[in-house]
Amino acid sequence: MSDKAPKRPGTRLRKLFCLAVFSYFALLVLATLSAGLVRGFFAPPTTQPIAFPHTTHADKLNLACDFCHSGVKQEASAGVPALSVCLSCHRAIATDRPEIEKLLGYERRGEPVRWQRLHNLPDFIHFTHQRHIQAEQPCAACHGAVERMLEVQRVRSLKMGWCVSCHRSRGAPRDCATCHK
Amino acid sequence: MLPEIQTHLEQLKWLLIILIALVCPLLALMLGGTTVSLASASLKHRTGEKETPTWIDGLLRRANPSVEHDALVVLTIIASLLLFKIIYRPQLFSNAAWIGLILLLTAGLGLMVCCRYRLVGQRPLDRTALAIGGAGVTIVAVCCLALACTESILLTPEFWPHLSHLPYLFLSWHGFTRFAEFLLLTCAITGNALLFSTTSPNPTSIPPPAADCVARRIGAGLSLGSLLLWPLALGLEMTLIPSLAGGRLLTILAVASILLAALCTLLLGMTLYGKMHTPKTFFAMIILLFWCWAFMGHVARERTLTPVALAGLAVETPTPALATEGESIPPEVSPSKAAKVLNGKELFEQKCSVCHRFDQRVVGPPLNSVVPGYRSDPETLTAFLMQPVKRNPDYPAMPNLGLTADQAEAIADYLFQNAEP
Repeated sequence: MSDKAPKRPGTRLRKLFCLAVFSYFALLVLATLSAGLVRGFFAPPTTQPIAFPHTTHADKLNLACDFCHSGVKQEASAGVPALSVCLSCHRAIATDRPEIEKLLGYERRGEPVRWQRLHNLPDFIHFTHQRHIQAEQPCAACHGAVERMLEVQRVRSLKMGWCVSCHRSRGAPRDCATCHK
Repeated sequence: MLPEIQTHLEQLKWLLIILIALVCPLLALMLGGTTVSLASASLKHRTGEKETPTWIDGLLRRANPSVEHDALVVLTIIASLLLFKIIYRPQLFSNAAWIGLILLLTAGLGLMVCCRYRLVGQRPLDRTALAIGGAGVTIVAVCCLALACTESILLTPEFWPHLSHLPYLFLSWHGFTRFAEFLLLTCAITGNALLFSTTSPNPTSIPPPAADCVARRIGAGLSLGSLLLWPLALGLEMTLIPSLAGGRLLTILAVASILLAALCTLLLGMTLYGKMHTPKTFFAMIILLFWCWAFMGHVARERTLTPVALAGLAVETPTPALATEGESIPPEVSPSKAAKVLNGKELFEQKCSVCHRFDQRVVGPPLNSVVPGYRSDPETLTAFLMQPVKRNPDYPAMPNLGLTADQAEAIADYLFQNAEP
């Protein structure tokens, strides 16, 4: 004869219910954290190898965008300026500043500056800067107030919905082949 | 007046958060209470006055907050909507549209209040009262959906310039998800009200009145269901939220909210099993969930609506349309400042001195070697300053500095005055 009293079925049911609720919420916490990780919410902000201040060049000096991004009016890609473009001015200007010293260091080592790309589009998208500039789109429409960014950042989603909205409201072509390769 | 207010934007935003955290539970209680009242009144209407079960009367009485509550809801809603309009994108929606929304919401709330007092009173029930209540609930729910979508469109400022052409952009899955979250929290707080408020003078009387038992079951079901579903909606929001609005703090808040919902469920379970009776704690936790929900909206807006992101949106609309935040718009140049910038010396120091000296080579050639060549034809120098052309292969090309004719002329005059003859 056993000494143990038989467990009440209600107690087991309660425990089962508690376990199910706990697992459910634990799963949701994990899913939310994973969603945050996958979408890059925990990723550190992108830092450039040289802290290039657009505030100085585009705002204070009022240099036109195509002075450095020379391809913007003629080519698909606006282009990141070559080291020689930076050095055409900075061989003489502000050479004692740490960021310019970094720039000169790249030249001495014969190494290109590996700028981090912020405005990435998928490989299957064919985007041309030239056509958007010809359509008199201001750079700020897609890039925001770059002249006020000490460190450049992406401020538009660059998602298809946004592109289509802009094309639709301006009467620009919307067939698939316009943007998709 | 508006620009003066916008200098205190940060304080106003915190005031708005407090108001939203206050207004959402109050509105939710009112909306949920009226819906439950309407449902029970409809049942009462169907079953007929003589055969009405007591629990329907109990439910009807439980779901109705006080007059003070109703007045507070209307006032705080109007205050928070006005504050919302002042802080975020004053030109995004016209004043007429915003005032229309406030009036519609107030009218809906008014209809709800009228219907509920008619239901609670001993007047005979009729279809008109039910129709008025239904209309009020529908109007308020539609207004809440519109507000959720408004909050959502603030997170995608890139769509703003196209709203006038494509009004359907106003609706978004993210907005609908936020609305669903609000409805679920509404169910949770209404369930809490049904679960813990009592119709009998002695809440601990054993056995409890039949009306209390039924109301408690309905309340527990509402609370439990919504607390279990709410984290799912929150997870959906985290996948739908625009990537630029999301961030570490937002994810942490979402996780904290899910944990809070789990704690609420645990507390609810213990209450149902009769191990605890902590109505105030449960109510406070649901209020905290509302606060987390409102604060998540604030965090997302703060990440998105930065001055650099807002710039460049006045493609379709004139410049004043950008006046979202005090510092987001560069101040217009006043006439006195315009006269000042035409000072050739200042312009030279600002625009040219980085690359040019009169007597030595820096980036460009020494000015004393080039300016004298233009003395016989000053207009050519002015034209060159406005539209520089590479002439000397020993030097890099001079950038176009975007000078106006007056500015170029002022600089040319300064150069002629100071360069060697």
